[in-house]
Amino acid sequence: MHRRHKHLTIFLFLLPALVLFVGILVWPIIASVHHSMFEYRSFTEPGNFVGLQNYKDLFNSQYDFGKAVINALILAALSVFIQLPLALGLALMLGNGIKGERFYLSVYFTPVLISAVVIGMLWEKIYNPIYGLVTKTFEWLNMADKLPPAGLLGDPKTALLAVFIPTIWQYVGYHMLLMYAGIKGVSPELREAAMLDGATRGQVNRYVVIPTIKPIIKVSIIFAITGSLKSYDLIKVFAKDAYNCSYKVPSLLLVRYAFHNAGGIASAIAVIMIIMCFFFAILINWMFKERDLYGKK
Amino acid sequence: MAKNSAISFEPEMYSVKKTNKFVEALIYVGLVLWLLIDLFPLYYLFTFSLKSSKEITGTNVIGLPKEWLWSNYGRVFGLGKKTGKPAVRHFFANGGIEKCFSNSVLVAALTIIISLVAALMATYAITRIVWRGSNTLNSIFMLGITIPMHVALYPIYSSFSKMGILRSHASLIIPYAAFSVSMAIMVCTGFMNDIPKELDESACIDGCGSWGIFFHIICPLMKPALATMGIYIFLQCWNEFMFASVFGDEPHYTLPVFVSNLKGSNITDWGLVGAGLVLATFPMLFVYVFMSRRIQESFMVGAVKG
Amino acid sequence: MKMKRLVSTLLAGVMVLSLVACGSGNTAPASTDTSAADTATTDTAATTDTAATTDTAATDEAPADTAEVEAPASDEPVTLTMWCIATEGDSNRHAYEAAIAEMEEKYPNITLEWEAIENEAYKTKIIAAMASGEGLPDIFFTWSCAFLGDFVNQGRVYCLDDVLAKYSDELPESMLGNTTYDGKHYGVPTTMNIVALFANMDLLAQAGWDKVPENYDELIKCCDDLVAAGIIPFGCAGGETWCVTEYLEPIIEKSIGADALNDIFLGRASYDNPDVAKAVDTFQEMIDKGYFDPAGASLPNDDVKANFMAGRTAFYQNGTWNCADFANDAEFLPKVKVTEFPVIDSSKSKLGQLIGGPSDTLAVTASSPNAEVAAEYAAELGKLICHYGYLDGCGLPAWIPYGDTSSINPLTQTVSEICANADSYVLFGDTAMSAVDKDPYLDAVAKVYGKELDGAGFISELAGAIR
Repeated sequence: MHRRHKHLTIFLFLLPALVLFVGILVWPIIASVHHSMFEYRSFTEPGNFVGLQNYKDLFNSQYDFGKAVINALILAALSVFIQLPLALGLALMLGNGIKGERFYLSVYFTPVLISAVVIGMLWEKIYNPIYGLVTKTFEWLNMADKLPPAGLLGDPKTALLAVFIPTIWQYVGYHMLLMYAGIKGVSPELREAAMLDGATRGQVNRYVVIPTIKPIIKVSIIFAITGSLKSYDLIKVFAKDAYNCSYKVPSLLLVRYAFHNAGGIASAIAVIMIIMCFFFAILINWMFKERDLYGKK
Repeated sequence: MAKNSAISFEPEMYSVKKTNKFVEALIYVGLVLWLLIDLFPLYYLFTFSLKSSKEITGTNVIGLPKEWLWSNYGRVFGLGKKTGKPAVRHFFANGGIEKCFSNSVLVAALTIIISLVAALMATYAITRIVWRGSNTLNSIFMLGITIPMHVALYPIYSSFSKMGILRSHASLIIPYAAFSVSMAIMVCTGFMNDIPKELDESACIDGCGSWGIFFHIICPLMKPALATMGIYIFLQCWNEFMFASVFGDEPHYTLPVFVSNLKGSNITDWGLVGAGLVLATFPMLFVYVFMSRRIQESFMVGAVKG
Repeated sequence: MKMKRLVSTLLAGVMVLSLVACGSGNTAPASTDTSAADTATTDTAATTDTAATTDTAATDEAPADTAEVEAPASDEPVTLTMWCIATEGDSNRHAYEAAIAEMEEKYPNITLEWEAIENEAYKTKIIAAMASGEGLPDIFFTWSCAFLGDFVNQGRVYCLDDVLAKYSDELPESMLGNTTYDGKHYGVPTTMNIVALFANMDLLAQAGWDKVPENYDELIKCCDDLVAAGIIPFGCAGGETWCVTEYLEPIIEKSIGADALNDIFLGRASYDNPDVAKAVDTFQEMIDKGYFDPAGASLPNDDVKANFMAGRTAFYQNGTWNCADFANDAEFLPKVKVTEFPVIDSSKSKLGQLIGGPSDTLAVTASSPNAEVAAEYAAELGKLICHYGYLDGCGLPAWIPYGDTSSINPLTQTVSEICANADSYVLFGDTAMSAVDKDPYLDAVAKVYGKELDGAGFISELAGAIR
């Protein structure tokens, strides 16, 4: 094949993907970095160059960004330490061969298909401090005084938890499915051999199954963390006008400032979000590499 | 090679022989409990969509509706019907929920086509043609998976508005396609690596060029990958809310925006809101009943291929 | 007779209103600001006169003859687009529908395609569209003062001087203060509203009160009695922060005085004012004493309003556009009374210092290909929306009312009496402030309601954030 011809062919094959990728992913990132150093008072005209001032300003109490980041990190931690173990537990229960496992699997996965907006509105009703399911259940149990009077979503102490519960409800099925597939991939011989050596079911899970599905757990952790860092839809539905809320997250502030003539601030938030997502993806990859004594898959 | 082991879960699997009865019972209790947790909110949604506000807010919170108010559904369809004279429109105009539904379908379908074509071609160039830098490029594409879509919102909004394509289907399709391309390339790479290179070589001997191999050998063999990826992309587009709400306008709103608009002034009308949520959700669940395995595979393949 | 009284009370309100003129203050240099205020005050007498004379004439023939006068230059079919917030369920919905239906008969060649968008979503959408200048409608609903002022500064709004000149008999100049920038008119006001305190007299009766509390001490006593009787005094939607401002702003105004608050809102004075801090503490004291429905913390306004109408809370403080919805509920109307929030510090404030003013406005985009037609259409439509909105009780008219207004609900009538005795108006904070200042303000108000900031924290945060 002629050399130049070959290069042309490669280029043509790559062209559509590159146009999309560069135009919609790479360029906006560069633009965000650029915008984040200017003071924008309106969409169209950039203001003065302000260097890193926008980043400094973000951490003023006025923007609440520090709190938003902490909230996102708490959500991420809850996802990793509560949601994933729960998913793993369910996957292990199903993975050992249970009657009707396909049925359970399919039902558990159902909420993943529902739009987060729908879930937000449904749970908003469930949390309603006067008529909601939660309130009514507590009343029925004669425990109404245990519930904060503002409702789970209204009380700053419980609000983040109230945001997290629908998230678990929706995504446990997803992580469970990934882990379940991994568990089913564990070779039966390996398992049987362990059983023959007298290992209990728990020991098999602990020493045979979990180490084998480590790569999948890694992917789940990355998805759970980046998913929490960019959570928007559900929170947007809960937050209404997004001023009063004890569960502000970076994406919520990003969208607000983007359209409130503070493009510089919005861009700075965007840049920090990208950095955080990359950082955690790399960190998790690195952690799993370090620990993986048996070498790569 | 990973394809089969990773995404199949045949029920004829081995099972552990000696199981403790007590543990067994505990497992079932756990499974059924989570089953109830999963289904109860959906049951609650379905029943309150058929109740009057009076029932929901007081007399009958959890039970089946005393009076099945299917009219709540009729009212959802009423939203967006032109009221009065033809010139008078309102928020959901142009057909209300049906219009939003068809917008969602159209946007998702075009996104699937564009992103799959782009991904398939790029994957071919990366995996089947030998050139320096192909691995690097592949890694760069893979970085795209981690990038949150939100960060592109502001720059894309301003450039789309300069280009004058804001408030059109294209303003949703282009970003959706771009943000699906990375994942699609990843999945396609996995599948394409499973296609033996000998096929290309023999086709090459028969006088096929790169394009010939691509169209005659690769494309037909990639159909399963495309189907899997298509379902995944479909669901991502179907549920996307942020771009849809900011970039769209009333003739271009998708279903999630319709749903969020239900809140507007109807928030106290639980029956109506519930019916709207059910209408926006249950068709998808209905499809899922018949295609559960395929849909689950499509979600798995992205994660497992990585 | 009733009508006559209403009109005169209104005009008295108008007279005072002219003192506000915030629009010019915000965007234009100070000179126009003062001149606008000056001219307005000096010519109020004249305005009142002309208005009074045209009053009767307008009553009889206004609808008929304006149709002739305002017919568009050509009969070519034109399609205009409009964005507004009159969604189904919005109090103004009926007024918009009725007005648009009437416009269709009047202008058969003009097709209006209109879209109503939920309040919060609309703010995001119009700001974004204005910023980019793309996809704008011909006519749009806007709040006056800084909200519209931002768009005027961006050069997106069509100047209405020529069109409004034709309506000077029907639309008093003093109603245009909030939409005048650099001496030019950019908006057609429809209705004006104030913040008022609505009381459910049935619930008050249960706590031993057969009248609305007349001063601050009585209000506190009444709240204590209500709490003792197991009734929640106030409902406030924490989910929508503008609803919190409907409580906080009157409390601040009645503590520090209208002028001081107006100066702060318009950026002429700093938030760093211990009296403001004290007022904020007063508000939080009321929250601490259990006066506010805790369930309201995360609820949207519609829920809270429904709670008030369902008898869960005794008071509901919000805009007077709510009169329409209360009046439409035949069962509820006899129970409800409307009043003004009492004075807290009588050395600085007095009764008649109100929050509100003409804010609901229609404007025309400069980029509209049919801007001239749209401007005439918007003016005429604004007049009709005002007319029907007034009849429905959605607010007080910015235009001189015409036709039979005897059917107006008692709540709106009381409101116009309150306005007749008005001393001065301070426009709603989130309308008076520019988009950039509004964010920290609403954030801080939300934090006050959520008890994250106290009075001192409120003033120091805002003094730092705003200018």
